[in-house]
Amino acid sequence: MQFEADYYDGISPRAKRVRVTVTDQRMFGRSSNTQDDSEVYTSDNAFDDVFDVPLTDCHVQAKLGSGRRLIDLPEGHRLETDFQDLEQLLPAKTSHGFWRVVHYAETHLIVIVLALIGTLAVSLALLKYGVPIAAKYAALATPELIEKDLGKQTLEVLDHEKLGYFQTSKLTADKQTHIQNALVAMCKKTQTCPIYDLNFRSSKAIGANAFALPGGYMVITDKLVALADNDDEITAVLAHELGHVKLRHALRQTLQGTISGLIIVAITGDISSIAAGLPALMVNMSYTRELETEADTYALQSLNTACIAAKSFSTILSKLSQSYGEGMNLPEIISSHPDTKSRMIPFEKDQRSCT
Amino acid sequence: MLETKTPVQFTGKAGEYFGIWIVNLLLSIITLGIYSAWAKVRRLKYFYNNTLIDGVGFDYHAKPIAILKGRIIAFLLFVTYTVLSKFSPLMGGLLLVGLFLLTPWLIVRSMLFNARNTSHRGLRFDFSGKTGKAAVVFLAYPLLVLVTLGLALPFVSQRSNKFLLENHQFGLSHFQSKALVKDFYMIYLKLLGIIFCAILFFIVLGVVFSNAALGDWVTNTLSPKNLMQSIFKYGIWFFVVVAGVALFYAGMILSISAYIKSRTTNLIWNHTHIEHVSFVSSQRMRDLVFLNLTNMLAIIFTFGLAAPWVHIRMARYKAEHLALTGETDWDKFVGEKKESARAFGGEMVDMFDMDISFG
Repeated sequence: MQFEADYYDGISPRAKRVRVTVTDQRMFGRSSNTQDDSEVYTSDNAFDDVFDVPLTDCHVQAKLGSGRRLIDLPEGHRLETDFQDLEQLLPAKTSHGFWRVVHYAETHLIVIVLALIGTLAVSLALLKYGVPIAAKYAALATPELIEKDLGKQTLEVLDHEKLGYFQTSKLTADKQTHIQNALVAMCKKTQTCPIYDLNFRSSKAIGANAFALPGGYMVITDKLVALADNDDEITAVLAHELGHVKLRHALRQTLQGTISGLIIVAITGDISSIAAGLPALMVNMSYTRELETEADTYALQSLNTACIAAKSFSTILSKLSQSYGEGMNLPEIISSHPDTKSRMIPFEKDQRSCT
Repeated sequence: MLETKTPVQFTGKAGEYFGIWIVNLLLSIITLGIYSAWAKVRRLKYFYNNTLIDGVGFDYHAKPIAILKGRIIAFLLFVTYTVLSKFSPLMGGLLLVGLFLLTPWLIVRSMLFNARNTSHRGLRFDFSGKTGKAAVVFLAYPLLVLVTLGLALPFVSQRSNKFLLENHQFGLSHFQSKALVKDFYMIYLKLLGIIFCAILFFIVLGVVFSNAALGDWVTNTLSPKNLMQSIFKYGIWFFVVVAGVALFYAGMILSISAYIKSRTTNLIWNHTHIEHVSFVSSQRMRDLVFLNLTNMLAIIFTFGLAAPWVHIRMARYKAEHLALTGETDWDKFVGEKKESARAFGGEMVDMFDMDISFG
């Protein structure tokens, strides 16, 4: 079997046109006179071998796209040929099989589509299930001191007068102590509360709201306190926030954003941080729902253990969503959850008897 | 004498590369990144093989195992740093400083690795830069930029490009760079002039604008105290204004980087020669702005699936705006017979897989 090829000897950049012959053991090439400019062609060297090497020393490069086929010969010599079907001539090596499958996949539309779906499925699974787990363990490994610092700084920024986000609470000291004590009482019964720092603020910007920052800093606004008809409703909301603190959600949220950003950059091929940032943001939004559910579960357990009517939580939740209507800027506790009603169901079940 | 011009051609096709890209991606993900070393070789081979001069392509010879080793070392260093900085921020900081001081060595190793693993017409490229010189260029000069508040930037740009270019060899022939420091300063001076005129224009515009009723609205809205209230009061309009300002800045940054990139690339190539061969580079700022902008939009709206198309069109643009002039008499080049140069790729480690390019 024979084919035409360009031969490079690694010393001269000029190609020699050769006719390559493959036998059982060897591959050899003789200069061919098919090109007009091969004036060197004389009867003397017409049948001299330009090269002659054992087949085992030849490395046929895997097929790539529709380009020329390349063969590496010993001592930096090489062949370039338009003859595509080299595998037919050469004894099969195990690595050839793998690359042939890869090349087949690369050049066939149906396999590409399957690969595409596979890639998307694997990366989505990684983002959806892998990242939260990774973030959870990364959060557990983060020193509490760093987390506390992060929360403190955030609260200081929000408190800054120039921003006008928070004002000092107008609740009486008595009322504040009352709420604090109610929460302490609940914690005494449940024995599962994390270390926390409850802050009272009034805010025109965010209205009735409560949220948890990293490091155990919790904030509840005057309007939310006013919205509640009794202490239990406030305690219920704070139990939910305690769930966020206990499970270090604020930190996990931040870490999830970072990790999923890294994965997306890896997948899209580090093209531009702006382009990569956008999908990261969209993925990040969907995490919140799972975290809310976790906090809900924690709140329900706490309320049940402490013999506080779990229904208080669903009552305050429905009041909150009514007070906000369909507008933007929903408070953290009811936002990023499409279905407040289904969330309330577990809280409306009959409680086990309390004494 | 009329100079002959030999264009650089690029024959890569987005459709074809899409297949290679997606298979690379899938295999990299399911092997948790291990295959990425093989993927890199296959990707670079595709781009090299499809970049042609006089109908003959380039080739990339790196062994995936060498790249994998480099990536594992980099990964281990990253993990070490993360763990170390948790227990002792001081040790973490020291590690970071140590790595920073290593950059010149890393750059030299990486250039060497890439050059020796690149070939054209059977001749290998080579890199002969020394770590000592690299330390001056990549550690001392950047400090100079800081000290002079950026005034030394064009000078440093010239020195680093000259260092990278003149230490490259094709076979036994050295690249020569004749771009002068003053040429680099001209690029940045022109840029400053344009920016100065633009600022002047906007100041005039601003004076006119702030006299109008709308101007008061903007000044009131954007004062920090009213910021939060304004968001609620004006809602969507607030975001329109913010988005407008953000877009304006994005456009500015895009244009400035495109200007510097295109002018610097042209300057470097137009003053480069190897033996009797010179180069002509004809990149244009507006082309780069258009390409970068459309690339970004394509990536966003296809969720990254347009990446292969983006890579291919950028490679094509760069290739098609570069040409060789002078006789392309290949017989003037000679390859190196030294065994050391040939055996290199096997045992050397592509430490951090750095991508450093001219410009």
